[in-house]
Amino acid sequence: MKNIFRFFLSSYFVILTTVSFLYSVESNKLKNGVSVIFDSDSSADTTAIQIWISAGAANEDKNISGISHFIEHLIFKGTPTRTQKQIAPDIEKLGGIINAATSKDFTYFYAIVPSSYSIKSAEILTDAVLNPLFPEEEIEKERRVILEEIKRKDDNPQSLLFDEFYSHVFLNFSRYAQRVIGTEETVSKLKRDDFLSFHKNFYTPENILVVIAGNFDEKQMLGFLKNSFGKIKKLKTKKEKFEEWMVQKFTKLEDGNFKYSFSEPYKKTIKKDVSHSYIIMGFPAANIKSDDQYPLDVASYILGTGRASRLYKKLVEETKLAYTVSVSFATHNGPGLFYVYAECSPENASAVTNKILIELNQLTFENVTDEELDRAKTLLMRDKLLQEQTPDGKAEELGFYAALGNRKIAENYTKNIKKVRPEHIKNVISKYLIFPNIPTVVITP
Amino acid sequence: MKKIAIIFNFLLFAFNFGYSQVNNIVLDNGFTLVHCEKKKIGLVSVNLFVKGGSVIETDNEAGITNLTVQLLTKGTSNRISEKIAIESESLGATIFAGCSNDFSEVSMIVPSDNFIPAFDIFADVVNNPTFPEKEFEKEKTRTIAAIKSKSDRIFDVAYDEFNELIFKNHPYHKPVEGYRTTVSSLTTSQISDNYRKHFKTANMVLCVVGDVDFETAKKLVEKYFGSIKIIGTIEKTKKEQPKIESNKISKKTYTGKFQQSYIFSGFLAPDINQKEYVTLKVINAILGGGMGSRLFDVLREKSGLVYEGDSFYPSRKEISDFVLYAGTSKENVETVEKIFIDEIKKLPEITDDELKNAKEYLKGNYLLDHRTIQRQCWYLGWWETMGKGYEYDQKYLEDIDKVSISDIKTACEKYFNPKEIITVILK
Repeated sequence: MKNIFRFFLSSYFVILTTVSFLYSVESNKLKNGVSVIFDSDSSADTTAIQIWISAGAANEDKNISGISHFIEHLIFKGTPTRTQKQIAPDIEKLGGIINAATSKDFTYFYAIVPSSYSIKSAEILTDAVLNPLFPEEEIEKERRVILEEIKRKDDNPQSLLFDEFYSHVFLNFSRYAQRVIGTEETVSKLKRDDFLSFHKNFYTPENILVVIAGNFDEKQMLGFLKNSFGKIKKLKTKKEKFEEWMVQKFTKLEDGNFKYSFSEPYKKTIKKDVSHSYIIMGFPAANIKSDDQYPLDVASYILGTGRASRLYKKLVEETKLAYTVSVSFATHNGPGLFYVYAECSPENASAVTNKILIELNQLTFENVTDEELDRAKTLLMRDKLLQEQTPDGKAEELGFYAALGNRKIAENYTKNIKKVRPEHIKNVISKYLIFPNIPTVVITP
Repeated sequence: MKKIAIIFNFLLFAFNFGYSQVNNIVLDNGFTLVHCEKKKIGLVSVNLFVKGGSVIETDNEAGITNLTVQLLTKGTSNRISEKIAIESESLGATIFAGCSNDFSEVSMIVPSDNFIPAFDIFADVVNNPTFPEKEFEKEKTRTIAAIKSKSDRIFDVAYDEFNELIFKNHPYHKPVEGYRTTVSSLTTSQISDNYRKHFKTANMVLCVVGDVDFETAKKLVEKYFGSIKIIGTIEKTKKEQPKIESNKISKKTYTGKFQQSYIFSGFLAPDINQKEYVTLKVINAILGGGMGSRLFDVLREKSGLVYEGDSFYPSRKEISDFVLYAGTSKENVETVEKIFIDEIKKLPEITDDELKNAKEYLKGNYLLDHRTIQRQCWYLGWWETMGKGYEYDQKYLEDIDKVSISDIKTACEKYFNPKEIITVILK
């Protein structure tokens, strides 16, 4: 599901601290292939400006791992017409916020500003993204910042767990195994030419999606976008298909999805000085094109969202084996990941993983109840309403699915969730689950 | 059922908050309702604030308030824990409970169609908790695990140590979730006593924002909270003035298990009701407000020393602190410490432009933080609970505009003596 993607992002700036009745969604494609989505809402006080680039860690060769994220940082460092201080600080002076984030599949840049500054802010963000200077001196300083960010990430057991899980699931064959942030080694070696080349090859019209949501003048905004994004030279982006990566460990199914065919050790245990055990286990499942995403989203809520979910009841409430448990389906352009996350005392780690396995397997031969299904759907719909309260929430929803290559999900999501029946959940879990060899990573004292 | 409204206020807020009409009533028993209708949003947000958070605990009972509120949803005289979870989640409602220094909080978000049945569950967990022994033991174990897990997060480890040092003579020194030893020693009877003592209607502020009209909200509040009588006296929070005596330790260095080092430096600062409160919020925006701030510039843009480095000034009822912090490599931590002191010394040197930009940043962020009904609801109830009145949600912006360079210089002189800076380093 969309809101899960935040776990796998690395963002420029640490984020600490989250009604429309006259709105309409409109999609356009500029002549050179840049996609534009407008979600106009005349009752909104703010405008969200988001620039999505369909290129992230999955587009990186091993020797330049982390370059998408590094560029995300460097975008804020100046253009031929703007200094660093005239980018982010200028948006902040307008009472807005600006940030960016990178994931496996995309990089995105955004600003949220008072509506009266929509065009001005779009000009600043657009200039920053399209015309970065990548000054040598700034590259060196930002390299130090990112090396600190890597240390910070490795100090955090949850963050380390997710990175290890991706690496474990994709077994170093797929680029999904690579960390978004890169490694100390690759980040230390990246050069200005690498940035220029990656920016030229991937910040191309067919990879760019601009989403504007909130209260803004559509005609004026479209005019501006045509004069800026519309001027980029049309260039064919080199696109690799997942089939080329998933060489050995995955079986291609008839509908284009992949199923794990696992023969390696499926469990990885990492010893670390931590207070208790952190566990993640799951399996690759539907890609962005697949309708299997809907029953997988519902299944994740039945299993692990809320105190009345199956795993929470069994692991936390009844057996008291775990302190916490949650389940998610993380949508990707390639295979998404259906995973269970839990924390428990080290002596219970084995019992917790076994119990999770049993619960997952049970879904393959026994239908969920109507009550469970209704609860999950009601909570999913509620969460969608929460997301859509703000222009930036709506833009994020539209942009996320479109950047991954299936913009129809956003408009049909509610309808498709309503259609999910108990047998769909049974079928979809049976289709992707590799029982009992579910990839598992445990960080434990 | 009590029907008499002592105060009945209508307030029209400016367009930029997205508020329509804000209503407020206080029942005979002191229970306060703040309400704002947001039509067609399809959701309702509910926040109940109960005055007196961890600040009213003794050190021996540290964590009791947090444990008390966590247990509210774990069984009432009408519903067992599982029933609360199934019933509420089937309505699309999630009930959260938490605790901070000055208040505890129970909140709910629910689709508006199910607001009335969900509010029945919400009121039940607030009014009729039974603190079952079995649930108590479970929650205690989880709380202790959560306390232990803080040792895996560098920020939490360093911040807890910093609070122990800077608030050493004040109840704010304790972590809100308590210590392992104190939580282990708590009993259900202590929890019940704590609930009876502090969950009194006169201590409660309920805020409702969303797709529900005032009459409906008022009737529900009167039905569930209006008939509760005031029994005994209201517990007042004891005021203790913290003293950081000179020549006592003002810097501590610890060894951690992390790759990075962490540093917290800061000063005691005025509470939310002091006249310098808003001035310090502006100073905080100058120093640590976003990518145009001084700390971002000196720590990241100019030197690349940190990924994370910032300042904050929490709003507290009795006393607060003004804090600078950063995560950096072990070899750079002394450099960062020196930068912090230099930046504090430079604070009074401020231009009109910098002040103007900081104010716009602060106001802009504040307004953007009101984008959702959950946050709008939280702010209205929070200002009311903190003693400023819910109307201050708007007035705060006017007060930001009034801050002058001279106010900043005076506040810096009064609160920021570089020689008295308190520092904790986790190496």
